[in-house]
Amino acid sequence: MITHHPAEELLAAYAAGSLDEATSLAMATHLTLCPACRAVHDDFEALGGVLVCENAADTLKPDALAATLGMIRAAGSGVADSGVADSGVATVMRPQPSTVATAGSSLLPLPLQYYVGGDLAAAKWRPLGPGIHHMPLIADGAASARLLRIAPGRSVFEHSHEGNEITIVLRGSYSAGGENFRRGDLEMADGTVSHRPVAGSEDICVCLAVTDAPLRFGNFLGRVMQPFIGI
Amino acid sequence: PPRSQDPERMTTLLLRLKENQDETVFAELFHFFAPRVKSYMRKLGAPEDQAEELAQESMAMVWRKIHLFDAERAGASTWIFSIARNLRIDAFRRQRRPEVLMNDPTLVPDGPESPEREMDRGQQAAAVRAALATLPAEQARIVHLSFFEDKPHAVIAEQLGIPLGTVKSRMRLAFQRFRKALGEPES
Ligand SMILES: [Zn+2]
Ligand SMILES: [Zn+2]
Repeated sequence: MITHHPAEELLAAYAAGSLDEATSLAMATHLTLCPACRAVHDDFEALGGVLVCENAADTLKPDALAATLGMIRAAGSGVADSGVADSGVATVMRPQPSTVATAGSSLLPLPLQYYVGGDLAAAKWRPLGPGIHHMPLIADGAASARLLRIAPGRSVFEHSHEGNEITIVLRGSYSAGGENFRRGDLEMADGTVSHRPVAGSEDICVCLAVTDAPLRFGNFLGRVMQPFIGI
Repeated sequence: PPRSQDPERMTTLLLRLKENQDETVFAELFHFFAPRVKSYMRKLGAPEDQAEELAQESMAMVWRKIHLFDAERAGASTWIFSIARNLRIDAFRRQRRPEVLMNDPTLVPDGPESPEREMDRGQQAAAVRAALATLPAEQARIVHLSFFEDKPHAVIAEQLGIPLGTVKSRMRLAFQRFRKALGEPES
């Protein structure tokens, strides 16, 4: 049972298409695991549809329809798709078929598998600190996304954030600030939060972490480590 | 023409196009949606030519992807909006928009929907329009800006001449109020 959800305005921004790729990945991951938020997101997409329909109509070029039908016929006669990102119809993020785990055994939602190159077993881990590994997935300047793997019972350094940090649990659990986070749960931390997540002792903890500004580590080891780990 | 504004009619047209790729049906959809998608692109900063191009591409995509249109999941305006939005993200930012995939083995399925929710599935656009109309002007403005301005909240705040914190809290209030007007439980 998921008990920690993204704020409504974040779901609205995802529906509007104004989030960066890393934060959108976090939203797609949570929405795969959370039907309640999918319903909220559907309402916001419907809102987008209504706003576009209420939008004053522009004037098109006189031959617009003919040009579009021409484009359609050209594509129909064997010209490849233009390579544009797909529509909102769920075919964009399909990973290579060989890397898709069979139903029942998958751990990572498909939008995430696209970046990892397969399910969790395909992750290429790099050491990040005692008991902690990571795999960077997206780093586009604005925001970055990574998988984190924390050994049972280990903790991430105490840190605060200059921007926002979104963490989604994929396997195991962690606790921070007196709260417990399990599969699908999403924690949002901003500049006002300083925390020290501790993985549950029952299993390794795997999370998707998205940050839109560098973390600030509070303790000495963290400050020493920061230049090396680059997060 | 008033009948083109009827979202149910647009959904019916898409279903007809799905059944049989008919250029007359497509033309009616095109005449309603293409000028609005063009305006959407222009408001988000596309120059005239690019806005026209993206509107045409969006409609070509409607034709190409029509087999995926599922009226149970989204009405016509919602579906076409999602197509236009994704083309915009690709064209403006050269980025992908990771999306939920309905064939994902890890997808946690919907619980049994409340009867209320099932009822407004078919008339979602009408319900959304009614909910939008209940928002006070300043909240409606913020909702509008959040779909038609590809700008960080800080820039929106500057444009409106109000503090960032106020933009964020107004946005939150506006979206919560919108959802309440739709009759959804608070999340
Ligand atoms: Zn949720
Ligand atoms: Zn943190």
